[in-house]
Amino acid sequence: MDNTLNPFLLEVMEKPGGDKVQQCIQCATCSGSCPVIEEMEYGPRRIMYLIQSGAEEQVLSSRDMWYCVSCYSCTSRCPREIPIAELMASLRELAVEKGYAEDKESQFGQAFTETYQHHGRLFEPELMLRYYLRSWDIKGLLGMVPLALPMLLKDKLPFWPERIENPAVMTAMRQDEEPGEAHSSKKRSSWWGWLIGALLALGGALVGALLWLVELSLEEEL
Amino acid sequence: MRYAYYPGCSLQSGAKEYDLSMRAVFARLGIELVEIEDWSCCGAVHAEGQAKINLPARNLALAEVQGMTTIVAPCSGCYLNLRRAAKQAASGKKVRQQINMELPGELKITADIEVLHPLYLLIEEYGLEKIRAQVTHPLTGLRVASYYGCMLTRPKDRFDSPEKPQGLDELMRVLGAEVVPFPYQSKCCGGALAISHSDVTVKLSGQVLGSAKERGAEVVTLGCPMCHTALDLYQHKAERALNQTFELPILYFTQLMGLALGIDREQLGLERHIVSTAAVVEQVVKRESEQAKKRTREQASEVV
Repeated sequence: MDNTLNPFLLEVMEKPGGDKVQQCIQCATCSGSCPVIEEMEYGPRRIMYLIQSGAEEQVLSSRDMWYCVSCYSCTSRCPREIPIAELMASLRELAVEKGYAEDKESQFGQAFTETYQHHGRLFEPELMLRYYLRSWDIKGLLGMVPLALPMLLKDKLPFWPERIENPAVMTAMRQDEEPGEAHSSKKRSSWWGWLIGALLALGGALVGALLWLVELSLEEEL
Repeated sequence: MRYAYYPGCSLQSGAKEYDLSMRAVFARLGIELVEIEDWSCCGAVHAEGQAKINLPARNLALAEVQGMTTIVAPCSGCYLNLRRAAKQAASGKKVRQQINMELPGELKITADIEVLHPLYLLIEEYGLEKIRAQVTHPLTGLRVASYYGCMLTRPKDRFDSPEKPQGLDELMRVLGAEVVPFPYQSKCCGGALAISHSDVTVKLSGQVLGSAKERGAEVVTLGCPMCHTALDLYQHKAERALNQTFELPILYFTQLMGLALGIDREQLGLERHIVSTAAVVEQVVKRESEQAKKRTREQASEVV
């Protein structure tokens, strides 16, 4: 079988959940068990086949892994015991790494990670802010508005973040970095600076526009 | 009985009622919960690469510092992540060393640590018969649909079947409730996509709610804050999308236990739900007064 291996297949096989990709016998139990199969382009069975055939672009630019709800139905039923849900998570990572990720869910994942790295625990209002600023998902935001008020009334949205003693440890444990380098990195989030910058720029533009209008009207008077 | 307690992020904000009722019920049963000091987020489904193991592993090591060998994690997602890390750390010396190297500071995992979901802790370690003996306000006649969701029983573990789980049903019967079997008991609610693709969440949670309603359930019970968000907070959205009325209160199993054990209702966070829980509470109260009347009548007839 060695001569049929291709770079993408090898890459996937290195990732968690990927080592058994070649064991897939295309029985489609996974696709038949998937609750979001209707939302997917290919479904897990065809994704397995595409990985085996080395179709990197087709796999990583598809929306399938972003719609995976990690319900583990496929994983628990697979007769070849392939951890398909884990594999989907690995495909999400690969898609981000290689610049294929465009789905809103990838923005949500990033926003989620940034938020828990910031405080050591999740802080929902910040997660939402980060997500909507990243994705400009206006339709989603409008859909959330009617939910926000009941959530506030029922005390389901915290006002202050719960922080761990040293949130920097979250970034240090982040991923496959060199341990030394990881522990010394105490990268603070640049997000607040970015927001303030954006607000300042917006304010500056408004002041500029006002001045310009005043100038115009003064010129007219003269 | 004494366990390390890992509440997880949701139980501090949106799912505070799960935390409140869990602490109240465990205290009543005489099980001590010791919160892990300085616990941190488990990464949910968004941690990447080795962080998937390292983030939960930090909490395992913290529990060990406090001298604990078993952790209770009430959120199904946290439970799965912590349990996965614990299994991995126990899988071999070399793997454990690798994890320890990446843990911050002096933190280390040196011994095997068990991670349990409170439902299966109650069933396996505490015992349903001991719970039955303490039920003072049985939920007789309350038609409950037990919803397991995904990560409580999948991937397959030693506690329950991933296809036809029974644990929650058994607990509900012990509380005196009438269990309503429904085909969507372990189908996904779509909670994972609640923000980015809420239409999918609405569709999937609508199927779960519709199926429970069709089978005549008056209340749905569960043990996962994500599922609770999808079924409770998104219920009105699902009703509008499907043009159906559900009005199904979604209670954590610890809240129903609290009612059955006669714990002060104020302690169970029942007012924190989007879909009102008043009907369930009313029914329990009604039955309680009926039974009280019956008791006095019986006593009176004995006297005669």
